[in-house]
Amino acid sequence: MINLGTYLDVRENSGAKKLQCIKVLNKSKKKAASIGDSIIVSICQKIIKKKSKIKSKTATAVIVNVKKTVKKKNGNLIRSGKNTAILVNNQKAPLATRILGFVPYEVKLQGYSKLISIANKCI
Amino acid sequence: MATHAFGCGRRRLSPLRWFTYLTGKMVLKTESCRFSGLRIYPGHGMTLVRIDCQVFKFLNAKVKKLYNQRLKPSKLAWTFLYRKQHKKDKTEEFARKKRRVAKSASNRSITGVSVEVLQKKRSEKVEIRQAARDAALREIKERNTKAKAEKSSSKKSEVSKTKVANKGAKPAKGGKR
Amino acid sequence: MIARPRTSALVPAGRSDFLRRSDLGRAVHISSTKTLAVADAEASSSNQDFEDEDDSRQLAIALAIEADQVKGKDILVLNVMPQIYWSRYFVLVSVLSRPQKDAVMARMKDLALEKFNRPWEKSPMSQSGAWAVMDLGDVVVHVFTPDEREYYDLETVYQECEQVELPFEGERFLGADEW
Repeated sequence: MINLGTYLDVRENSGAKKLQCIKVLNKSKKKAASIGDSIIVSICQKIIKKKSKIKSKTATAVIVNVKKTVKKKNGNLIRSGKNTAILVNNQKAPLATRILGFVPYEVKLQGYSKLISIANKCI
Repeated sequence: MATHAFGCGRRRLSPLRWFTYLTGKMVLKTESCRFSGLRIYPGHGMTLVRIDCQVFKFLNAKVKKLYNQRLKPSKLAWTFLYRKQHKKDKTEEFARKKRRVAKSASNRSITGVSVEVLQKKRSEKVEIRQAARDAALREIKERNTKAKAEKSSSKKSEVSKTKVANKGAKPAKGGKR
Repeated sequence: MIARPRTSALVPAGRSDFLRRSDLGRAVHISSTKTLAVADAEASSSNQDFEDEDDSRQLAIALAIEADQVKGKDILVLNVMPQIYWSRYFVLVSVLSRPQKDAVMARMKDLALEKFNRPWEKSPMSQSGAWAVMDLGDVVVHVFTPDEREYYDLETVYQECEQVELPFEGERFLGADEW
């Protein structure tokens, strides 16, 4: 359940470290974002990188892990220790080259096949 | 690890089958608990995925708590790992292992003899070998007889030589008289 | 057993020495709901799987050939089954311009529909930009520009996967050092 103001972790090598949610996209006003949803974030902390694709302080991100239990279509429940997101550009392509940890399958169902291709493991 | 709606786990789920879960046709497949080794039936258990993408499947909350307490399954008597380490179940297997393994002719070469030569020798028939042995024996006999004949002839010639020498020597002795 | 969300961090308390405690905090728990298991062993399941695999392979190779006809460069077909469960074959193609990319995608889409009955809806998001993806379930086609291909370096991620032999060997080894 990611809402306005939620802090999110980043588990990839784009250079960002900490994100804060500014806007939940493509959802009605009262609904919170969950795995696979895209949000607009402000990049609170970042590592200075030479070839960084991060141009401004805001970016679009895809939520990858949430603390709140989410029910998958299988019937399985999934929850994580942290809220995590991955920075993404307008073409649904990641700004990073490698993702640490795994990515849930729900992300792919929302159309982010590129993200999943980079991931180590998909669950 | 994607699992079906009715909780049966199939690790290599083909994407084409992803959409068949609604029809209810599926295969019952049990997984084994990472900690205790016991079977996990569909609809039971918990999976833990660590940040390094290592997957741990636990049978129940009990097992998961033990894992959280950092206990080792090899120290808990009811787990498969313990039983394996302390050799509890497998007496038959160990008895079987005591049977000696019959030595089979190896295909390795010996120093001085290459593999092909060895194999050729091994595959020789009995008669051929016997014939070869006989031939060898005959050779040796011939050699021996030859050697004997040579020796005897040389001895004879020596004897005659010495005789001549002795004859030569005697007048000397006689001279003294 | 339905897992209830916990407020405290879920830490499996460092089983392994080489991982830091903070890393382990990102544990993800996946619990199965307790439902009646329908134990219905399909005798033909294994056969069907095998046929599907073959089908996927044929499709992947056909798509690669199609790409080659539009002068796509550095075409690779990877068998990603050992590493991934959500797909079987990856087709990687390098393309030098946007019209070429559009041409490749269009031809592949037609081929998939006509010969293999795989309808695929074009989503504008995944098509624009330097990296286009065509996801047909068991076969995923990646069309990049050479720069993007080098940047994302998918070959390293799937380096342990077997490369499927293609009928036009010459094209494959082009340009590995060029980019």
